[in-house]
Amino acid sequence: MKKKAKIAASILAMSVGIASLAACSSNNGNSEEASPSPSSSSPALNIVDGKIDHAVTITTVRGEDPTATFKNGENYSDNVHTRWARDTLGVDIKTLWTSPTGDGSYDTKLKLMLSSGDKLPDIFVSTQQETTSMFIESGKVMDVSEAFEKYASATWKAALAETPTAWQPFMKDGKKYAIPVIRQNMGTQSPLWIRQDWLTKLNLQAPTTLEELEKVMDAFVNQDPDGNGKKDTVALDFGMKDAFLGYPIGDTSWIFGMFGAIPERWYPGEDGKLQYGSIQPGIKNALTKLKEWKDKGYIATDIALHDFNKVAETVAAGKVGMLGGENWLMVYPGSLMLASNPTAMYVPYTLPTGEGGQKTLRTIGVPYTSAILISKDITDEALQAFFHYQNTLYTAFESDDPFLFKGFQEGYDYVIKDGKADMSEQDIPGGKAATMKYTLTGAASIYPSKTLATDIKIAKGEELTGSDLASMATTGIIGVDATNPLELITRQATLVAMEQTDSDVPEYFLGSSTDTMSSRNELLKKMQMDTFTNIIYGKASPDEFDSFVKKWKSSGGDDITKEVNEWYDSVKQ
Amino acid sequence: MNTATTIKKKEKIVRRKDNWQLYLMLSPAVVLAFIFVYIPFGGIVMAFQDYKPYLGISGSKWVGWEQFKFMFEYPDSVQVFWNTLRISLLKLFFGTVSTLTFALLINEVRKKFLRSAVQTFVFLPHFLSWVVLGGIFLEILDPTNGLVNEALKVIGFDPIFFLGDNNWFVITVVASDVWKEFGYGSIVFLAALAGINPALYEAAQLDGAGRWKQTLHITLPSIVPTIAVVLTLSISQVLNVGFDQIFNLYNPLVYGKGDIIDTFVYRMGLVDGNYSFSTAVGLFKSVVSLFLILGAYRIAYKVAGYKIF
Repeated sequence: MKKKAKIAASILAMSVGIASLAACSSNNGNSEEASPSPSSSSPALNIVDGKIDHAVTITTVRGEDPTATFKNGENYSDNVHTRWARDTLGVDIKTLWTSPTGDGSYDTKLKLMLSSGDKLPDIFVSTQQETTSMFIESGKVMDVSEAFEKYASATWKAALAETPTAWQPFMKDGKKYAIPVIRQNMGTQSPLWIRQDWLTKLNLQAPTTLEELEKVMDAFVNQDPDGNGKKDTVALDFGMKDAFLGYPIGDTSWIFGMFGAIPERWYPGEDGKLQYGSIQPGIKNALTKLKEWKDKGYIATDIALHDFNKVAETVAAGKVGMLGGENWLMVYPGSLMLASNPTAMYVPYTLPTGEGGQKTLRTIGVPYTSAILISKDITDEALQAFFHYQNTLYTAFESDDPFLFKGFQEGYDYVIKDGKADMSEQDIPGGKAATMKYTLTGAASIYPSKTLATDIKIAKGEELTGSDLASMATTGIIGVDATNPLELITRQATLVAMEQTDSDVPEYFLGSSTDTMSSRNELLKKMQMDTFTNIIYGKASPDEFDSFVKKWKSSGGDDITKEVNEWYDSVKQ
Repeated sequence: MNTATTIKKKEKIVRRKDNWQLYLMLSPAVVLAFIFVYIPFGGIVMAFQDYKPYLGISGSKWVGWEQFKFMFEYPDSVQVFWNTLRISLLKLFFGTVSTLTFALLINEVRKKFLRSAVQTFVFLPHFLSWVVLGGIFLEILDPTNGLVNEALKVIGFDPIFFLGDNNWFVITVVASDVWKEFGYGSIVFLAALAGINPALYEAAQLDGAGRWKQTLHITLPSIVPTIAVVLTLSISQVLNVGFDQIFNLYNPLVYGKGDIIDTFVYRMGLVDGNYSFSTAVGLFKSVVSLFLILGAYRIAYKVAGYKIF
């Protein structure tokens, strides 16, 4: 009796399911502007001239960007951008609370919101992978695959399709639980930055091989390139205090990469499975070489204490001959160096070939910055309104009009003079304020290939068309900012980096910590730091590396490798 | 006898009633301590769970002594424990000796201006944060062009990589901590010194005792209880070596002797997200501290006859 009732109930449930599916597909046929909802119960929004009739409210919470500025008494909840969204799009963004991101309190508040069981805001951005994973684990955020498929515009989809790996960190059981906020990662790779004034003074050429590199290093240390009569320069600087990777200025990946491996990175080996870079045989040769360089004084005596700040400081002091770093190196810390030494200049060169002429490897940054999380309890109206808002921002990449967002940018990011954007501080009444930081995601919308194409044109000094300028529209920086010549060097560095993209090794493992990682990472990391540092300092023989590899594998490394590959198999398509 | 106790009791009650203003003044501290010290005690249960923030304390899985087992089996536990103890005891010893010596010496200075000038001067470092001092020490101890090594070179020594050598690191940490805190720490001793009955010194002078003998036979015995209190309180802190100092100065080269419990917990708990594990270590530390303070209290009572509680 009971059994029968159960079966009947399940049949009933199934038929309802099928009926609703049918409703979905039938709706699909006659959709025009906005597609029907995935839940099929609520109708599409009524959008007239780009504006939702009867404005829809979206609730959100905001991390306060320390670099964001406000004027005219505005704030995150009420500013020129939110008014624009409400009045021209019919999207009323309601900010429940804001909290600073700089000191991590936004992240803490997000976690608190989760553990206290509060109702989540409709849409919010999470920047920390661990936090994002917690939300995904909690089951309180929605599977966005279907909504994105239905509501995102073709342009936004195309932009995200260029960076398929950006979805991977937010996937669970083959479903997507967050929309990545993507960024331009071309230019995050290191070129070799060399003090051009030193090269010229010592009559040297930029090195193209490891051997030539060592010659230049020797000259930079022993031939007094800064001309102060003291032996106080270092040929090469990099960060290695807290880790061997992750310093945007003072990158080490290419140094190890000359020997065919990148520490602290997961990337495919010859068998296609992910392997850990720190235990590859090439590392041993690299460490041996670094020890030799240290003994010869090519690198600083206290290199073990160098982190991002220390490298930046040494660069600013004008003591560093060469280093790896992202394309903005001349903006910071380069500009600090220029302040005390106006003739100094770093010029980006392609990386020299590695040991035995092999191709040098280096890392490239991840193509995303954060995740847009959507509450499971969001109303269908609000969901559609969010996509309408995002799609509108992405229309910049379909347009010829660089000023299509002047509704919230004019008078903040620029003023329009003779049909051109004037972005200088003194011409904008009340000063400049970057409105892209007021947007829901707090960042400019990016279409990697189009954004890059414009950057290259600027680097080469080519004329920009209307659509080129329009592709810059969401950044609020339309055209070239003549007040900052260092920006041009940044774009040129991107060009140099682009000549060697076959050297780029991204991080392949984008999931959150695996079980063994949580319990063993500390031990393995410490073991690695200990071994590598001691080899470079000659306190341990290079053969110590072999026992490190053995110990790494047996202390949990093998288990982690297994787990990482399980994850990789689950997201690989 | 019975009546005597009742009288005493009554006296106590009267005294309590008389002092209600004092209790009122005490109450904010009690309330604050209750809210910020006693209520968070509840979080200790995390040490016996596999805590996940999104599940909360009520929803996380119970694992019993698992975290403690993991802690004792962890290969680095022993090393960081001994490192902590070594640095801590050295700090305790040199800290107390230098503080005491300074207090005795400054107490002998009769020129009031000089005395307060020196006191202010040595107080100052106490108010600087290790984040700031860490940067300063990194600069002046720089092996190539730091102030200290430049000086060493001038007098003919080889430069020393203070923060890159295990033994020098411990010395640097202890010495810089002593330098930072001895001025501030001497306040308690100075107060005790001021409380010594001057008649004792006069009597000693009459007996022909010099400055040194006076110090030895009057000053030191008089402040033994204070020393005992200070030491007892410090021993309870023996496993707290000062996270901010070590964290701002250490690096992989000195993990061997410089890595302490707190920096280990930081990497394990905050960097790798093992909240339960770090709570377990914290609880372990507290329990050890409790026994240490009980032990030290007994010794203080026996040696100096001094009661704190």
